[in-house]
Amino acid sequence: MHLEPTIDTPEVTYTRDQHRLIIRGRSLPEDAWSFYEPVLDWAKDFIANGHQELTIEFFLEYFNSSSGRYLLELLSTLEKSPQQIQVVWVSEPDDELMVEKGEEFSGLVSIPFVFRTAS
Amino acid sequence: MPGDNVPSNVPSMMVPFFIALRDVRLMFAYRGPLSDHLTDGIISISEHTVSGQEEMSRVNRKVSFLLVECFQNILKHGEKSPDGNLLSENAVFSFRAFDDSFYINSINPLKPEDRDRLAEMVERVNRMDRAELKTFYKQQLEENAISSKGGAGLGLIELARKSGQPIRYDFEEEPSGMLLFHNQVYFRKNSQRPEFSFTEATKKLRFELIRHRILLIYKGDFSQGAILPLLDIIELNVGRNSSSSETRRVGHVLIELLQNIGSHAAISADGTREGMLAISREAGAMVIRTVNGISEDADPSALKKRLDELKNKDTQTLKRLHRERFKASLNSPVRSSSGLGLIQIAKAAKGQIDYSIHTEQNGERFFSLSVRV
Repeated sequence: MHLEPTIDTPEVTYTRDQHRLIIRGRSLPEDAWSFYEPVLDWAKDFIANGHQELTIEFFLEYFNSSSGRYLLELLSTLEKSPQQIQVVWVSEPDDELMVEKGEEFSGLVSIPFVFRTAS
Repeated sequence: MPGDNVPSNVPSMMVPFFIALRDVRLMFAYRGPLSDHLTDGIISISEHTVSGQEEMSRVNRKVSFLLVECFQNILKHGEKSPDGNLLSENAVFSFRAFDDSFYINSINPLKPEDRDRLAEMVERVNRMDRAELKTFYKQQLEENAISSKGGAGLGLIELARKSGQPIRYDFEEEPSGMLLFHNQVYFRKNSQRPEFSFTEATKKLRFELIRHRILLIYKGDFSQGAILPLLDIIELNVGRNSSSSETRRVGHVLIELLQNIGSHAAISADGTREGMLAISREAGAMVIRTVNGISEDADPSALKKRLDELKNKDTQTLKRLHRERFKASLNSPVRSSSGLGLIQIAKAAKGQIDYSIHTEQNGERFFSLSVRV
């Protein structure tokens, strides 16, 4: 899966050989459901196809509250998977609100989170 | 009825300001730190509105050119402090779009001794027809000796050539002795409509901007195409004198606020959801104020209830509340994030979110909000 970034939606890339899903950029679409529906479908397929492991890397500059709802749905879908899954949550060094948002996600799902600061 | 207004402690200048700009489709004024980075954002905002106006879309490229030229004139020729920084708190760059006309205004601090030379140059350019302007432009290009700062005359000639209208100007002497140069360039498709009276309006605008410490004010459409360039302007320009951490907080708050207006504001005559945004720096914080009309059939009591619920809550309580609602949103049959944005704003704010619902004599209702970040 690969979705190119736009001025208000993030890049979404899954690389099978690296077992990595990257969501990076700004997520501010007015209609977040239309944007995230294929990503949620991909997550269901991922679980059904029995891949071994997955690292989800988030590096978001901004996301609106409706995007937040679908990011939580994505994590909530993937946490049901028997595969080993972890999240790497990357934020800019001066963006404490983005760290807080990551911590909130981390508290709401059972997937382990690693927090990193962008260099 | 006016008596229904609740509560009354909100900075109320936004509502009368918004009402006074009723006929203006787009108004943008900027008094913040100036840099070349502002140019792209200004053009994006203008293009978004102008390209959607049947009457004006053909002049879109000219408007963009004039915006850049006027803005760069401020950067190039504005009076600098001894350390070389532009005295930007005194400079105001603004533009307004009506249905069939577009006005670009700048107020620029100058040295008093520049007055006569500048007035003479504008008068000379204004007396010329198209052919004369073209010849004069070439002549000045060759001589290239008009201004010690380079090309002052060339800029004015280009403004007159591209707008096809005389350049309006005025001088205002500040009690401090500083000289302000007021300048207006415009397009008008309909000459029946009286020309916008610029000096009085821009003097008043500048007075209000300084009085309320406003760095940026925007009135217009709040659809995505307009608010994304605003976000960039605030990140790259308004925030230049702030810490990057503060600028990011402002960004997070603005996204929720502006998208809320874009989704819920009353629809104006031209079919857009419009509102107004002002950003100021007051007592060590950035203050964001917004106002928008409330649709006739909308009941603002749900919004009022949500905002009142957030009053006097500490950060930990707000975090807990957000977490509970966020989790619950997954099980909600309606795919919405309603209310979460407001809690996020409250979490990022320094202090309360102030709001008011104001009803005019004619029944029109306005929602205004103010938050310190």
